[in-house]
Amino acid sequence: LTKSLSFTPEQRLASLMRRPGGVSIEEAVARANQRVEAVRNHCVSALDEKIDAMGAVALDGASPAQIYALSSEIFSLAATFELEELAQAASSLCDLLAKAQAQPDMAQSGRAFVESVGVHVDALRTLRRPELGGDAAARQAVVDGLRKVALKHKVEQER
Amino acid sequence: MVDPRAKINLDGANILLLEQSEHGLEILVQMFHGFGGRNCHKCTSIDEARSVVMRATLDLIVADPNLQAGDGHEFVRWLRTSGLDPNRTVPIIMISANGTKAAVERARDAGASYFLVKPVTPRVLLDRIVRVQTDKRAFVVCDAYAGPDRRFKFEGPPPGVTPRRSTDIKTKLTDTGGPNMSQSDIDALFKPQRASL
Repeated sequence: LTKSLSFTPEQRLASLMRRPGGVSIEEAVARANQRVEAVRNHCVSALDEKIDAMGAVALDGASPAQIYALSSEIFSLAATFELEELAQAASSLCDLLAKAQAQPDMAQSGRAFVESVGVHVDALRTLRRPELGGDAAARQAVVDGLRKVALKHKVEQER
Repeated sequence: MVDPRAKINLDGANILLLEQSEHGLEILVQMFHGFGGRNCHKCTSIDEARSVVMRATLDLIVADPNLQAGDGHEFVRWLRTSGLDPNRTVPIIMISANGTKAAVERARDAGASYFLVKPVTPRVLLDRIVRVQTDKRAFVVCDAYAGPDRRFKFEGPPPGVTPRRSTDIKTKLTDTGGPNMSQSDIDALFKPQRASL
């Protein structure tokens, strides 16, 4: 049998947080929301660059984990700033890449996987531009199509 | 949810934020500044995070395990087994867009204290930070694991050992991906409880 050790560590954070002063939770959340809102433009304007960067590394044969890191960034920014359709498209790509990480055969199967990633990258670019993305129904159709692409890979893997 | 009128004081707390994206990091910093936490160590790589851990006494770590260069799980595992006191026992909140059961278990088994699925709002993050105060879990160190006490869950005999009980799982357990888990299911995986065998 291996030896194990168990102890209760001192919670320095708990002691610090209970010191006099500070702010109410309500106020802290309101201040944080205001501060996040203040960096909205800076963050949202970086999305195009991130989508292009992801498209480039995907074409260069990057691993699913590397592409996932970028896709997750796009999802996180889009979802934080309530760009719903973009967030859904990035989430679909994250799902696809998470499956590829769990099942390496999928990424190694080549063309179909690369094309699926490419379709997602193109859709993300389109959804960033309302003049190209069409009306709400057309944009939702794009998102639904991406989900089907991700699902198709899942079904093929389970066969 | 915690009482919104309750007061918190994060002034003076040393917080390490590990997130590869400059913009994601900026959002986290703004949240902590809003909470009153001024001492944020911003890291975009594991090397930077290790450097901070070696020179500063930390009170909280918030880390995204998905990094282009390196693996955030490895950083957490390294810290938990580093022997660097008191930092090795610091609360670690992992945040990730991947909330599948496999991802949550991986974070828990690396030694994370909590796991949140992105996007993380200020309210959810602060709620989790406040819960750290009431976390009474012991810190466990053994050959295979170092970190907060984990729920003990029976998942059959170890690989290579023939099942003996009628309830033993006879098929190989695989990482199937699956959909993102709900936050309450994720929390259950971090909640220690006695096993009934």
